[in-house]
Amino acid sequence: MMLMFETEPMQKLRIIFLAEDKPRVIKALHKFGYLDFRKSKLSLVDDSPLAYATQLYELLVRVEGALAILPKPKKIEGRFEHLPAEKLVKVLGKEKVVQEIYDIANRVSMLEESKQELEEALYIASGFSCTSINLSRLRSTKASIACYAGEAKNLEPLLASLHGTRGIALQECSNGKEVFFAIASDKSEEAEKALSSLYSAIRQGAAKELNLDNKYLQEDMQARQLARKLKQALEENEEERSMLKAKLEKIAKGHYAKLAAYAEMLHIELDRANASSNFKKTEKTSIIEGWVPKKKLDKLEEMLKKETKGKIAMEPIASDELAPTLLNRPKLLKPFDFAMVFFSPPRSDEIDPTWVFIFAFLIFYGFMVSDVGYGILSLILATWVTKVTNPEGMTYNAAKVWQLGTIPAILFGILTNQYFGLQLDQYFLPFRGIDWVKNVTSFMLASILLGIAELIIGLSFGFVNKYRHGEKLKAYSKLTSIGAIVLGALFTYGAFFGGFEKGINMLTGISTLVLFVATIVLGGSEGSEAMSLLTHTLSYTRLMGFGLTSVMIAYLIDLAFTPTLAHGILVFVLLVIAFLVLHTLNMIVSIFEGIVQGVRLNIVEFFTKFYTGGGIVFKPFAYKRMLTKEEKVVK
Amino acid sequence: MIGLESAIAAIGAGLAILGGAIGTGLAQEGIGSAGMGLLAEKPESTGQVLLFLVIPETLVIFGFVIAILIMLAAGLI
Repeated sequence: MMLMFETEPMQKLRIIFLAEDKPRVIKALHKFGYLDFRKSKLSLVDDSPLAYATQLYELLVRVEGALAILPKPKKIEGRFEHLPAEKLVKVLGKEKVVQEIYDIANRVSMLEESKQELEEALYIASGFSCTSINLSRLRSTKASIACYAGEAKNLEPLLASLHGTRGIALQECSNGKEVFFAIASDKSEEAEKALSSLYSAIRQGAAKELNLDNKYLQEDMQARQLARKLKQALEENEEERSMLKAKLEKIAKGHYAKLAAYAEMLHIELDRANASSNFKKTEKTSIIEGWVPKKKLDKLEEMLKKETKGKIAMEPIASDELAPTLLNRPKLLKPFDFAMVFFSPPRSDEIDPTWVFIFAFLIFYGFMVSDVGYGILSLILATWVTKVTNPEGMTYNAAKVWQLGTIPAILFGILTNQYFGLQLDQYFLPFRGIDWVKNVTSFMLASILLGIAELIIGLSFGFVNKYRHGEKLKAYSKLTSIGAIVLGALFTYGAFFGGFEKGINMLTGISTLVLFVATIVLGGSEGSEAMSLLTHTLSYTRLMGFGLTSVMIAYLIDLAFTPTLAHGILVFVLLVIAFLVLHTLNMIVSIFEGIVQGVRLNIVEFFTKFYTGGGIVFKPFAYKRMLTKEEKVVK
Repeated sequence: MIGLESAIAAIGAGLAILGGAIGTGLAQEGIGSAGMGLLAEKPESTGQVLLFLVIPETLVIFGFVIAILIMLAAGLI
């Protein structure tokens, strides 16, 4: 029973083997996946990564770069046999598809650059297509010629005033909205004066100067002809890019999974190549240190002996260092391990409260939501979220916890006869359940009792933790706290609800006071915890508070917005909309509060009685295969 | 017809909730603004901020419990 509340027992090991066996030992440890390396403190030379690590890095960058260029298929399927490092280097050296992907990517990037320049040139050439200008000659003339484009309604009056002015040559072309103009002046006083208003408007942003250096404008032809040619070039550019895009899609279809598998193999081989930087070495041996779960020790020894033909020594090391924490619950409950690591993982030398957290959270959540309709709807939503999110991410794990929480929510809903706020006995079921409104006191007592139960468990854990660490007085203060809570509850029941006779009430009252003072005295620096006993117990009444609030709001929505045809079809439709929207909002608030308050009660009220946290998460030398499988062993 | 005692009890219950709600609001104002500041720098702290934000809700819960007790004693529920 106590094992449920212990983190996985760990052993620190030193493994010594012949240097020639190193690649085999590393591979076996990687496959075994239960050794968390620690740098040895022995005064020996540090080992270095295996020789081919740099080459593998280069290949990995190249393959991952190619994968980043390819469009990612919706499903990546396949199982490719793992290739050892040497073979992988050879195979990837011959793999032509990676180079082909890079060539296509370079061509696409060139075409995209040209597209931008072509579009700019087309814009200018089209703008001047009503003139006879040859844009390629404008730069070669000795006169100062500049081309501009701007809003027609602002510029046309200014341009009109320039026509006929001596020393100014002007060509313009307007499409009603925008006007394009090329202007040259002989710099005479008269010309400069006439141009001053136009230049002032240009400086204020009425027109932008056009870039005549664009290489596509250097064709010796009139603007109209050039525009036609550029349009065609742009179409060809578009066509070629589409063709290359289709080619990349085709390559992705045929090769993405294979390349992703190569990347996975390279990651695995790189892990292995770099592993030896954690080792120490002598002339002929290698030495590894690390943590292993105790239950895996025999298997590890057997496997290493097999790999090295018995030429290996394994010795346990006594260590003051804190062992890593391995949380290893069944798959269904893994999201709770994720939540514990997210909050703060338990230290390996303290009680692991995850099992209590799991059950308490689920009960609290069910208590606060307690509606069959909301439960079923949120089960559907949570399942959908788990289908569309990344299994390694926070959202997925939160949705998994939420999904599990819907089961107690439905069960509590059945118990309290709540179906979207409606009670089925009003319609067709004889079962009335425990009515929330008529049993407020009972629900309040139930939530306080749940709180007392969890606090007693927390204080018991606190006793064990303190006792183990030799803090005996503080450990005893946990026991007096338990006594104060239990007797305090009995006193409240006797004195305020007439549960016991006066004499008994006196006895429980005085005992509670004595235990309360004892908690303060024995607790020392943590004696102030005594003050929180009452507030933390009462804090659990939020279970009733949030449960009742959700039920009352659902009840009021039903009362005011239950759709009826009595007032016509329009009112009926409006009522349906209001009914659905309000129930959805109530459900969202109810679920959100259920999760947040359920977690909070555990972390603030329960954990503060014993929990230190800050454990080091166990990170074994291991890998997860998604697209590859182990290579066949050749005997 | 509700008697004077019941009316006073109902007002008392309302005040109990009101006090708790104001206290919670004042506490959450500070925690919320500080939390938003933290999230701007460290978005990964959302979980912790959310947790700190709900801690003062205990005050309104106490108000709610007292209101229920008053109403029970006055025979209103």
